[in-house]
Amino acid sequence: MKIMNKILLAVFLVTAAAATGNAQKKNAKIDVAEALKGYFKPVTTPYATPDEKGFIRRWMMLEPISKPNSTNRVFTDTYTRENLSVEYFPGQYTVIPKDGDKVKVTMEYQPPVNLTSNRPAAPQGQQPKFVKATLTWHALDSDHFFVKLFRFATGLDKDRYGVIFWTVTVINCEEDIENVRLAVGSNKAARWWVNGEELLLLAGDRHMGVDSAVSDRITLHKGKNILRGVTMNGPGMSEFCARFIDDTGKPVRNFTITCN
Amino acid sequence: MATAIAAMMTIAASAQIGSPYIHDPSTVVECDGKYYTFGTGGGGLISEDGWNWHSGGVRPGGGVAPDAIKIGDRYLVVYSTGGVQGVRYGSHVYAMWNKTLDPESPDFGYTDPIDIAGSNGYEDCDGIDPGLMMGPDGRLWLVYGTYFGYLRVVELDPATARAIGDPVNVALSCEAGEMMYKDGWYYLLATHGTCCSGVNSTYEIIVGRSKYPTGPYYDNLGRDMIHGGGRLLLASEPRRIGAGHFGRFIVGDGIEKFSFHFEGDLDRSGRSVLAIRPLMWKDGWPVAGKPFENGEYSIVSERRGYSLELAVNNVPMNTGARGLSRNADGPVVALEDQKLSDVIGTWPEGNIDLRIGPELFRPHQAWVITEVPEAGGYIGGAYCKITLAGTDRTLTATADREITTVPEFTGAPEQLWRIDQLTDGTYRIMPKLVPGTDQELVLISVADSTPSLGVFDPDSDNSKWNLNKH
Amino acid sequence: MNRWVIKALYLFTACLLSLQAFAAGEGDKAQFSDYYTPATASPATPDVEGFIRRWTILEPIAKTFSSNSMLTDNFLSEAMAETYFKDQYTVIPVDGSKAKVGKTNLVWHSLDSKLFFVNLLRFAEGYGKEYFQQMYWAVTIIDCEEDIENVRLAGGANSGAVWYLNDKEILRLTNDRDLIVDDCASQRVTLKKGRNILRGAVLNGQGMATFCLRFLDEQGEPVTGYTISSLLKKR
Repeated sequence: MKIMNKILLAVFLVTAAAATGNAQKKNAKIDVAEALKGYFKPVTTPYATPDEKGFIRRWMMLEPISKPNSTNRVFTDTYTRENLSVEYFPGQYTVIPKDGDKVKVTMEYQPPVNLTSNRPAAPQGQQPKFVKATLTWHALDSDHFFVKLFRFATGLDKDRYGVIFWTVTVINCEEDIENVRLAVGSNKAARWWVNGEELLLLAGDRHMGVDSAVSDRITLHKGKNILRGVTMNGPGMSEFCARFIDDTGKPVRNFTITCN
Repeated sequence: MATAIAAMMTIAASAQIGSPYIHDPSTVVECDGKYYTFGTGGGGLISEDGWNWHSGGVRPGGGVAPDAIKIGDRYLVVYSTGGVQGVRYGSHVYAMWNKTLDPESPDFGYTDPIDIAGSNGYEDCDGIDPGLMMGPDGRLWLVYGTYFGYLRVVELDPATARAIGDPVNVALSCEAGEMMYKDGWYYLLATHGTCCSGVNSTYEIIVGRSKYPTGPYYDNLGRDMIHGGGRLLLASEPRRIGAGHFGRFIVGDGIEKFSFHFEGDLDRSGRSVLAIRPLMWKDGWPVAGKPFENGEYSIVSERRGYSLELAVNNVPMNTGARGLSRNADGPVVALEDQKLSDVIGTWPEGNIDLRIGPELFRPHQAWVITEVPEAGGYIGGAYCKITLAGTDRTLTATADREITTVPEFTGAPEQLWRIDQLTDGTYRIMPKLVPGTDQELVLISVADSTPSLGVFDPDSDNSKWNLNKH
Repeated sequence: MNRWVIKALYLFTACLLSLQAFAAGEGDKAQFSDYYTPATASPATPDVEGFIRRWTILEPIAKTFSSNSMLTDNFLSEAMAETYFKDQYTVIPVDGSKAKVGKTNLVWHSLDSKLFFVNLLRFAEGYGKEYFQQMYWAVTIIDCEEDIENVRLAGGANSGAVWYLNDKEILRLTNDRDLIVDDCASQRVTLKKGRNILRGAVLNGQGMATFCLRFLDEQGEPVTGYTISSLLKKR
């Protein structure tokens, strides 16, 4: 090989090695259990059950999609529905992901959070900039009756404010369970579906109150039922809690919860 | 002066007057006969009578949402700062003492603030919005926190204000916490909703209760405040939006008020204003009273349900069916009420005394109660005149410690009445002055049919009245 | 036994039974003694609830008015301005003495009521008098060891009434009222050390006629520290 070619090859190999190294650093595997300690644990058991108050703690959770909102006062019904109807990835309304599955999204760029200011950084009078990102699904059990989306984001070093979280879980019933309602408390705006049917649109600058919104009566069918929710927040805390309640307001607990 | 009075009179009845502009007011504290409240940013408001407020309160340290309490012969003031040292949600609660709240007093001077509680920026708590409560057993408690995470309660040493022990989470996703105690229950007040949006704020005051100061606090549905529970105390009133930052003020046995701000007062350029309302209690829960409204009323004794009336002859109405007749022939018509002009000619001139008699909604039983803005006020209200509807005849206290009516309102203090809604929803009606005595006397029933003036007894229906708006 | 004796026995038994029945019927009717005993020379005191039970009452005076709702202020003022008998505002009547009203002599009776209230209808009935559309005058003597200040005369009446303490009107009850304890109260008065005269008149149209009176202190509690007397004939 000619010298110039050897030099070129050497440069190529070094560059490739460096790039690979960088890529490895960038995709260095986070210890999820450690990162989310105190709030979530990775799923290790084949199924879970609702807790003693009926709250559903096992979820597939997608790392947050950036959608900057500098204030929580924008969450009208219309704004909520419009912004939670944007299709960020194919199959977002139907997917039943597995732990570690990835999706590619195009999302609005926001600079890293500025902890010295009182508001998350938001583009000032500019056109929003969009970036591509690869986001991962995580199969997690919440340590609490609520799902602390904020800590999911900060633990994994993702955008924490102005974000959209997709969450999905599978409810398994031995028989039909009729006349139940989905009861959700949510910080902040959200949409919820069971088996592809929208049951709740939650708007407003709301906080997570147990059973603060409930759906019409539905039937959880014998077999698998898909419970899917998407939650959006501006500044501040983000979290939700969800359970099914019967006609007397008591929690429904006779089902199991799996990720698929 | 006249312009100012006219301006005051165009503002809806029962709004604190003067310049009651403040955000996140502390509990109102009395010091040497004046009332003080401090707010976000520093400074505060002072009032000589609890009704007319002006700036002048002094509170150094800036920060947000102070609170204040009198302990022994000195005053403890707390406030909070957020985001210190570049750490989001890293907040601090500071405490300082003063011998007086009067900045003109030679004894005025705050101690250096000490850091007593807060949040490290990484936990589910943002340690602002402190609230103080002295419990029935002399233990001092601090509640703090805001929407980011939990409200917490920690005990303080009443001698130093330093924290004793670890804080306990008591509520989720609310702010402006305050505690109070009554009859074996501890109450946690807080706010839900959007603050700081003027007339678009959905700010509202909610409450839960517990047998223990450290909770758990439950609302009327049995929901834990850690689960976002809370029973509404007050959100908005017509023209005044977004109530928040509750503070309790006990006037006396059976008479309580609460102070707070409205985020936006539509009658005052949408500004954040101080408000004070009656605090009632029903079935172990606090209930917000409404501001007093000028209008025509029956003044009805709680003792017997009889109506305050001029001691004049009852003039019968010679209309309508009588007795046992069931004659249903002929058209059915609406009969007119008895009119003032039908009866006033039968009344004497000069002073007319009073009775209490069966309510018949007659002219001699109809009273117009009107705030008199230039007459000043008291905590939670303005002095009113009480005149017989359609006339200038005015209810007056006499030197005999009785009451009468005089033909004309002159504005004399014995013709001015303080109206306080009591904790059970009835009213105490008290003259500004009873001639010839320093004694504080109120309108009472001394018999079913006889009104007089006497010492207020909060446990007796003789001291209480209902105001039934016509 | 002889047939006639047996018949006589039956007749006698029937008579006895009839007498019993008759006696039982008489026993159902209200007895004056259920309401009053004659006043004695020993001074009385207010009862444990402060009610004044000893009164010298005049047999009733006829007064025409068709309904108790006519007992307005004006009507009572006019009624009390009339002179019915001599010294009607000053006499301290002696039990058994008479007052001439028109052509009729009416008698004063000094009595102790067995109840907290004075049943004027049973009083009139007991003396064989009319009891509807009548005016009943009553007087009593109150003796105090010291001044008792800041008390109120509190009363109820069926139906209208006007009361005087030591010649000054202090309490008036108008219109068609029911007997209610402490229905109306006077302004504050003083029972003076020594003798006080409490005098008044009760008017009633149809229905029951009654009144009750006591003195209350500033706390609304009954005043009991005095004695009550009537003037009885010297024997």
